Amino acid sequence: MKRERKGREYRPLLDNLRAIARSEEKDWEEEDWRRALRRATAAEPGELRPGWKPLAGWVWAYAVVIVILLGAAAVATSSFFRTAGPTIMARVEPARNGSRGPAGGAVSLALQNQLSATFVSAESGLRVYWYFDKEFDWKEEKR
Amino acid sequence: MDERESRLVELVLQGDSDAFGPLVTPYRKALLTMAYRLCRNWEDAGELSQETLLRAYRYLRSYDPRRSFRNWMFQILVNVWRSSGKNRPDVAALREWATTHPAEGPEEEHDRSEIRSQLMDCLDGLSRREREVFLLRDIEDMSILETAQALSISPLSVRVRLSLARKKIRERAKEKFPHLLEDRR
Repeated sequence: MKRERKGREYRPLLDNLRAIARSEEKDWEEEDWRRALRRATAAEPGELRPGWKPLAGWVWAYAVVIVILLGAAAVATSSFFRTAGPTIMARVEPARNGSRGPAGGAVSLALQNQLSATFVSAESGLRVYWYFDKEFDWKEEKR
Repeated sequence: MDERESRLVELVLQGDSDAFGPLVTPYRKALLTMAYRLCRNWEDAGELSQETLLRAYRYLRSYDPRRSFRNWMFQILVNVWRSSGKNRPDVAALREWATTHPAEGPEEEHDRSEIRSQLMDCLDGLSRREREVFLLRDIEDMSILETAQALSISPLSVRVRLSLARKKIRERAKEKFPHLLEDRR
């Protein structure tokens, strides 16, 4: 109700303000207008975006330095973690016993009676396989 | 955008700078007046309008022909105004206008200055953002979407600012110019 009343109140005000706005429009002096057009068309049209400006040289220089620093930081970080991290990686999985599932390639877990643990040395690449049978008796193999 | 305008835009982009005049001439009054309502100073309004024409010509290739050319010009004008910092009121503006455009008689002179001061007085109560929205939406009769596009704000912001602007204008008119609230039709 209040909103409707405000709308009813505003409509004549808006009409009156628009009438005022129309009555006070001002036109250019012909000479000023011609001068403004001459000045405007002295440039070349064709730039795509009003907001785009070529970046200054120092911006590019800063960007290059930042990229180099980031790259160096990435290299330093990765080499640090490689030396500080574990040198032996282990993977435990059901040992393959040669039987293949119906889908072709999947190991049948139902027939699985061995568990293998694989240790890989990051430095030398040496692989150590431990096999456990159902009784947890194990055998070791190095390759 | 009508066919005539799109043809003129194409001609300008092909290098015919003489086609720019006929393209913008229909909006010259609207442009100058809008600039004045934004900055409240005829001298600054002239400068803003000139800069608007210059940018319109320079960046014509970025103009999307699906949009109204007039609204695109207003968008440039608002951007020019925002970046110029020309936001000072000019109390001498009415006198200046009156001297450059003498009225035909004393009565007309009185009526015109009275009418002009009323609108500008109402606009004086608005903030910069509210004035932009009010002028584009309510005085220039742009849609909410067009106003949002011209001001690079969301339609919701347009509605909020417009609501505040209308409230302020209504209160100011009620206080100072109650006759403007009457339906004269």
